[in-house]
Amino acid sequence: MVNIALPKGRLGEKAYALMAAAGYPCPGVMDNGRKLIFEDEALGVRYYWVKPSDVAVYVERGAADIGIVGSDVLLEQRSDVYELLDLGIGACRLAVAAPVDFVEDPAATLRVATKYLVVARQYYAQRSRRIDVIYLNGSVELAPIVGLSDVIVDIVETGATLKENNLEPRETIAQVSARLIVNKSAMKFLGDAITGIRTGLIKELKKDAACV
Amino acid sequence: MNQGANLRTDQGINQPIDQITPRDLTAILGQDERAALALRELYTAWGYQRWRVNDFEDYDLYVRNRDFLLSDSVLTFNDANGKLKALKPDVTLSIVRHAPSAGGQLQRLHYHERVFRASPLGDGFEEITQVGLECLGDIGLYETCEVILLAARSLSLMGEDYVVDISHMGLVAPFLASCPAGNAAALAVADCLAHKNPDGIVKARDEFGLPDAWVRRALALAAYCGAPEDVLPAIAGTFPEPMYQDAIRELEGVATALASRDLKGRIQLDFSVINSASYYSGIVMRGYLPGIPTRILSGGRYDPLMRRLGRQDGAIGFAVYLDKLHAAPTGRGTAQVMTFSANEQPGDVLARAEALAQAGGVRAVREVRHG
Repeated sequence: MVNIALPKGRLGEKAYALMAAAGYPCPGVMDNGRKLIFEDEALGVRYYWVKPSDVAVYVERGAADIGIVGSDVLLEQRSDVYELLDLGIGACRLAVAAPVDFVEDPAATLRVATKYLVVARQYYAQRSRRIDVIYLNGSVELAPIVGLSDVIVDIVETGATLKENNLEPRETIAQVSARLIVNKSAMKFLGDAITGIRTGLIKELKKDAACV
Repeated sequence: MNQGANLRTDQGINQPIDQITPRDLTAILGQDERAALALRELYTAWGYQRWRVNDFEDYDLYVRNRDFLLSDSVLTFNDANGKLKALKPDVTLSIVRHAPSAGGQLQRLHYHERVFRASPLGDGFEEITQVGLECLGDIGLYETCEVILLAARSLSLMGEDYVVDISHMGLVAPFLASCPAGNAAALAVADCLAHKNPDGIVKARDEFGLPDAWVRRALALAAYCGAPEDVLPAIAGTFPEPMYQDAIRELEGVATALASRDLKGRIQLDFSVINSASYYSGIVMRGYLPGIPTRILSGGRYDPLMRRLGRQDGAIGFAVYLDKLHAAPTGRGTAQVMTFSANEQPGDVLARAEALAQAGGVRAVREVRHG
């Protein structure tokens, strides 16, 4: 049995659709209920719905053998897992954004609001830039508007949310997409099953690419 | 001695206390304690001497070798003379520093020590029990094979199923050093190799302008994983240059020697095992048991560390992280859960509990009223 952690939400739904098309469907997964665990004994898969930022934790600690997670989470958590495949779905970028009229003073400490503490610290450390990191859990765009921060480090998809809040992306830190991750120990003992899933996903992605 | 008192264990041994044997005593130990005893017996049988390391070490040892440690954070204090000391976060550094050079003689040492490391959540320190061995001196192919075999045998004492992954820094490090786009690109590719991330290698090619021929070899290295007899011919074909041949020959020698040791399927070549080239120069390894999510054993050949600490001979060893055994699924044991209400007389509850304890084990749990 391969235990699979999927991120709740749009990315997880896309990821499950891909898994199902690749030959690993499971009845009930997409039902809107409170159930969090779904199993297909014949196919040897068990799905968990978990919070997107928890997927890598489940996999790294072996509660799930594999998982699908945004690469932004991996960058932030530095998870000790194998990253076997870039699924290409959920594509966006991690970026620095600021109010359109913000002019940075290089002599002042830059106030950065974000939920990506590690990413932000590392990005500015590489530039020898002194920053004051402000951890926020959500609605990060609000921070520069109300004067809590100068800039934000956050996920940018289309940029529409930024625009609505009079913000603009300034620097791209990393491109982000969904990744198939695998627990290192599970890879040793469930290698054939996991390689089969990876192969199925690659085939499916190639089909999708051919359709585009 | 209490006449009539018996020793009961999870294994069902039920002996009067005045008749218990050392074996019975072993049976009441926890899984990690039993493993430690079995490992000590194994290493002693192979001629490894017990080496004891003080819990306290000069802090400067860790400052100068910070990259060797799994965690940057070290617990420090001032001793009575005002000298800065540390609670040891690692055993190998202390052994290499304090074990006297044996004048060309091979030193086989094993240890069972506590180490102190920062908690992964950064909220304090953890005390970890570590068992392992170090082989110091003139290390040849035989000694390398012996240590790898003992790594495999160590794992076999803790589970029927296990895997030892082996890589070689004499192959991986010169390949990464040959990266035509410099150190940043090499580090990015090393990270991808460690995570078996082929898509990341392709992205690094685009980001750093890496030549296709070099990228093809990096992708091949990321993909090579399996039994040595299957992987080695492919490796030899991909890395024909003289600078890789010593490493490939050593891997072939190890594979040939271990082929007769009933280890089929247990030893795998896997080049995602990468240790710091500042400390490791030869074979590096990691061991896994099913159900334990992270490696339970790691080690390798660390001649560069010996040089850093002023020794000219070679060294190879490994550590077993016994604390990881707690992450494995465990049996429920024979203890019964006995519930009692807050209204019951403690004396009555004690009587019921003791009867169950004598019958095999008990966990008394007070009932919780909801609502």
